[in-house]
Amino acid sequence: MGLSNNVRLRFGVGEPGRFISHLDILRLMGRAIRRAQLPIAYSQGFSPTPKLAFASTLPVGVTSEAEYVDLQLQTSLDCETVKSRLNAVLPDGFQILEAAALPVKYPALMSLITTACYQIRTLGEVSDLEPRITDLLAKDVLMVSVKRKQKEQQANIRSLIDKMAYDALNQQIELQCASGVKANLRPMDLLPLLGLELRDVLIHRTALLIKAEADQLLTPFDVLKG
Amino acid sequence: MKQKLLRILPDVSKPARYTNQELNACHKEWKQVAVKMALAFPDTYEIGMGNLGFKILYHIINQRQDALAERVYMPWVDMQQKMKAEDLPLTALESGQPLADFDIVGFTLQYELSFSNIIKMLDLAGIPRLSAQRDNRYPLIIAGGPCGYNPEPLADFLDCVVLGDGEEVIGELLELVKTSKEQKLSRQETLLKLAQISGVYVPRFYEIKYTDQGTIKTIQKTESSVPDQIEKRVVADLDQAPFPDRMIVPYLQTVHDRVMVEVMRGCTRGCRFCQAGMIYRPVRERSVETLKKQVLQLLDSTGYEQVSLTSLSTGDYSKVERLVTELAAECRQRGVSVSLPSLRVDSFSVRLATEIEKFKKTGLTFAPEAGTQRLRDVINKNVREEDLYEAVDAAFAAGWFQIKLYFMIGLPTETWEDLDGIANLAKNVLEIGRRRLPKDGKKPVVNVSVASFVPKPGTPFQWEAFTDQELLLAKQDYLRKQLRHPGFNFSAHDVPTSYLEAVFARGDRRLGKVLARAVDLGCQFDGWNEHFRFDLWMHAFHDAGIDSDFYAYRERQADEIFPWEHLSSGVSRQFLWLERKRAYQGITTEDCRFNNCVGCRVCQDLDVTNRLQGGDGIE
Ligand code: SF4
Repeated sequence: MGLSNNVRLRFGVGEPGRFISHLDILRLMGRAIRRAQLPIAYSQGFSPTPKLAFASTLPVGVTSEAEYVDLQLQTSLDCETVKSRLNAVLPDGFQILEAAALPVKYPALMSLITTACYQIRTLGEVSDLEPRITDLLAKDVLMVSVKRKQKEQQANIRSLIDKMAYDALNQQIELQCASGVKANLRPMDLLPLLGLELRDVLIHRTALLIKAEADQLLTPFDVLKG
Repeated sequence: MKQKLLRILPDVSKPARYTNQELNACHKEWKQVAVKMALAFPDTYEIGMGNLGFKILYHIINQRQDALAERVYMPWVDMQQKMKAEDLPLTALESGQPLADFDIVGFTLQYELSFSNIIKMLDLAGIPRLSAQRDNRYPLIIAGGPCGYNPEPLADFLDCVVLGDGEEVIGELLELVKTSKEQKLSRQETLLKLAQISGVYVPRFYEIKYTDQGTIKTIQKTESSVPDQIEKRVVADLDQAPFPDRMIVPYLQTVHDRVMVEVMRGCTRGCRFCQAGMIYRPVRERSVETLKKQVLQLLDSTGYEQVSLTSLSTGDYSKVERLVTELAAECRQRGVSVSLPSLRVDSFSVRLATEIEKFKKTGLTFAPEAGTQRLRDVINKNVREEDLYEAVDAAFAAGWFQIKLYFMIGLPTETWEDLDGIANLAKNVLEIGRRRLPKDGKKPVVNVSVASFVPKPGTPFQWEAFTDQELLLAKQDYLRKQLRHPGFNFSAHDVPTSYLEAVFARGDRRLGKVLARAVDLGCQFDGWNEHFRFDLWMHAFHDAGIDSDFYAYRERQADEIFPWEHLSSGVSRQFLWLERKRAYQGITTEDCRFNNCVGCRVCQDLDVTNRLQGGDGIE
């Protein structure tokens, strides 16, 4: 609502957008903004880059309805205009779902995010997932191998899992876990513990959240209403 | 099939290579189109997407109501394994239809070392390899591109080859395929008709006989209605030629991932080793107005942040200064940068580059090609030592600190002194940098890159021998030792790779057996160091009973019949021979663009002329 120089967008990533890296998404957004002829602000300096700030990097292969990006414009525009103009030019697999005005000063989105929610849908029958999850959650240590800076490492991820449950009706695992610059769990790293492979599942991000006072969880749009 | 594909994608590297749906890709209703053509690039998606010729043909074909063009690239090795496991054939990106369901599959022949990938792609598509094995149940397999001037190693695999500018021929070709489908002509009848289209070569209608020594005795046509010699097709006026107003914007980063416009086609500088400088004659320039219009349209439709002004030598474009200044001004407002891919060795070019590249992020590249004036005269690379020094001085003064120098070794008449010349040039360039750059700032870096000379068909050096591999390695070592100092980076092209390129560049039909065998043995992606298996190639030559040295190391006789004798780029054999003689005498030949015609015969025989946009004292 309303005119603003700074706009926060929530966007979704579907097919085939889920197969590209964060860097590709960054470039793709920059180009969409040019095609939409939005008056984006550029960084000063020798090689100007558009002023875009993303909330998080979406792991390759994961779809999402909860990606966020903050745009800084040179002139004020109506948030809904920004949304519709971008939607007119975005390629398949990307859609702006929500837009809101930002105050003049606001903290970098990426530094705020603490939590993410995922749905991990199994393709085809997988029995006894429920007991497997109960077993997992009962343990104090869950070692998995994760890739950090091109190297395989062992890490205990138990403390990164907030909640995990199996929804038998929809054949999907509901996961809430740490996500962000301080602590981060890539949902695919959990799969081996459940006896699953990447090709057996579709992973979808449903929320990116900010832990506020009293462990209250807020979306990047909730915090604006504050 | 699409579902199967989606399931394997998470397990392959760079899955976006295979997903399609990119912005500006063209999706047509499969059933409603009469002629379907797959544009096949025998390398990865990232490499293939950078090809301008493909973009032009894709645009032209898809503009027609009755035709569609889709893209297909060589799947990476991990993807090939998954496809095999899931029993998936090679499919085109846009519709996901198997390659075998198209009417035409058109391969581009960019590089001899992609020949194995062409055969591999046919295998992956379940299409019989040999032209003789294919009837109307299978697509026509055609090809075009620079290696089309000697496609003979592929002669048994291809149904036809297009010589020259594809945009001239494509319309006639599609029409013919359409009517032959309607009239239900046999494959043989269709090919006979295709052979009547000017610029279209149908290998099966030519019979090759060999002498006891293994050279070619005769090339005879087997059908009276086909031409004795196939001449290339030329776009006479590039300014009027069709050009896409939108280009596909890939999801993942590819080669040349930016707006590309073609400033001109052809080059008449006449470097004697250079195939492009012979086969794309004459020079045809687009007007500044057309180019500006194309750039702005493409920026609007793609959102790209960079524009590249491409050609064989954009610094030679007669209105280059005006074009660059006006475009740079227009683009700066949009936050778009302009780049010149090829720089001439002079200070004027550096000034231009300085104008548009405010941020000197990458180094500047120059190609003196040879180390001494003597050898540069032999190869007709008309660059003087002073030109290079002035150019790099200007570059260092403008703030560049990295200079890349391209050279070739193994050139005709080359001696060790010529190699010393390379080292000296590099040292002097570094010295200029040390003097020019502020002492407290970045230190100058000179990258010296050395390729091995490969004799190419249709050039004055087509008669030359390829230098012995051992000697080339010794020469590389000699240079590496001289340049083993801080400030230099030395890199040299893989010698066995160049050797194989030399064999196939001037190969004949008998090499088809070798190609087939090599692919059976597992050769593919030969242009990629990590996949190149020279041992397997030698194995394949052995199995086929063919001596590869015969093709690489043999100097050809003056009157020898070349495997490509019946294919013409319009440049006459007499001219090439005369140029070779002049090379050995150290006599240079001028650029006919700025001087008199030097008699290569393209203009007279194909009824075209150099078409410049004026400026620089022309006309
Ligand atoms: S025919 Fe003459 S003018 Fe034309 S390209 Fe050849 S040398 Fe140049």
